[in-house]
Amino acid sequence: MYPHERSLVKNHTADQFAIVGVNSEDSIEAAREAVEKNKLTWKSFFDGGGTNGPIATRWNVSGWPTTYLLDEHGVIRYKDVRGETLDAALETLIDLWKAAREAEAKL
Amino acid sequence: MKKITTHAFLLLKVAILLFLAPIYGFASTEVMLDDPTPTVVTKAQETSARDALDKLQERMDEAWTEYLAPMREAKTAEERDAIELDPEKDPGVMFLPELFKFSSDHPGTAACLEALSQVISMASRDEKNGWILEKVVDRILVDYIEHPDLKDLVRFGHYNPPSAQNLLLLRAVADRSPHRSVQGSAFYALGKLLGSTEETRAEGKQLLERVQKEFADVLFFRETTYGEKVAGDLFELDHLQVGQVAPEIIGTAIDGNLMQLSAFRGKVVLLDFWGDW
Repeated sequence: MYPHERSLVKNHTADQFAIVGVNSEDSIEAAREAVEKNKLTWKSFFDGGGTNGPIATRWNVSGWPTTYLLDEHGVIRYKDVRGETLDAALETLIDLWKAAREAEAKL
Repeated sequence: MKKITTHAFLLLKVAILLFLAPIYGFASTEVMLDDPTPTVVTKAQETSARDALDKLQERMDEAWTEYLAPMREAKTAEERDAIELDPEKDPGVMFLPELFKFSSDHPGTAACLEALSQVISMASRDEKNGWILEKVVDRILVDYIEHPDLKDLVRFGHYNPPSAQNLLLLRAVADRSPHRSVQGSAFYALGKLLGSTEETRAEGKQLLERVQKEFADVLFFRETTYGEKVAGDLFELDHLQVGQVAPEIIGTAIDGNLMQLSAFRGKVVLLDFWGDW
């Protein structure tokens, strides 16, 4: 997952795309270590330690990783897509993003 | 013209009946040949079934360890991602016949029910094993519908795919188990499965609401009750579906700074619940 995520970040500009993590490591130290070890360049919420944190509980997460892909308006567009499906889903949303910028430019 | 059609239809019906007769005949012979389940399982039978299952389990664990060895030996995530395991050698598939045979050899025991539970999750992974699933569901509904340990079998039923056989099993257990806690578990798993598909979402939600009303005090797992569990599921059905605005998250980032999800509006966002384990 991490190499794939790193390539997604690398292949898009920062104004197009971002990864937002929610980390359920047992301690903040373990979370920092995991970020360093896996060379993660994006930000993550720390969910208070453990898998029963307030964010994971509210989002009813029971398996890790669980992912949501949101469009630029914060609307949920895909749930738990991985691999090539994730690539295709992301490209669809990026195309919409680009089309919106072009439409704005014409105004 | 009409008469001819009717006549042809009748002929067709007879043909179908003739065609089906041997199949039905075969099916009923097979049922007769099946070991009759003893109504009382002795302690000795239970113990010997348990020992046999423990041994089988040990061999399965060893097979899994061996099968997944390349994964453990991988040094980086990149290496791990590149590994392709041979699906033909998947212990989950290799041990299917043996587990199923075990359930025939030790009818009526709690160990048998455990084995059947494993067969269900293994057979559910591949459509070509649908016929095994069918037999297992039959066996459970005939021999185990009143068994209190059926709870362990249906409790995580929502982790299996919503195949016709899995839905049939959960519906039957929900309707016919004499134990309230088994029923509650079956309703929950059924509600979760139906809730996961767009076309059946409304029915799934109804069932989960029923669990909230009637089975909230029943234990799901360890200390968690179905009441606690289902609150999260109903929130997910109401607010975390495709097409809905993601609920706000405000919290502290790993680097110690405050952050909020809505600050990322304007970008496409991959929200990733992760843990490095």
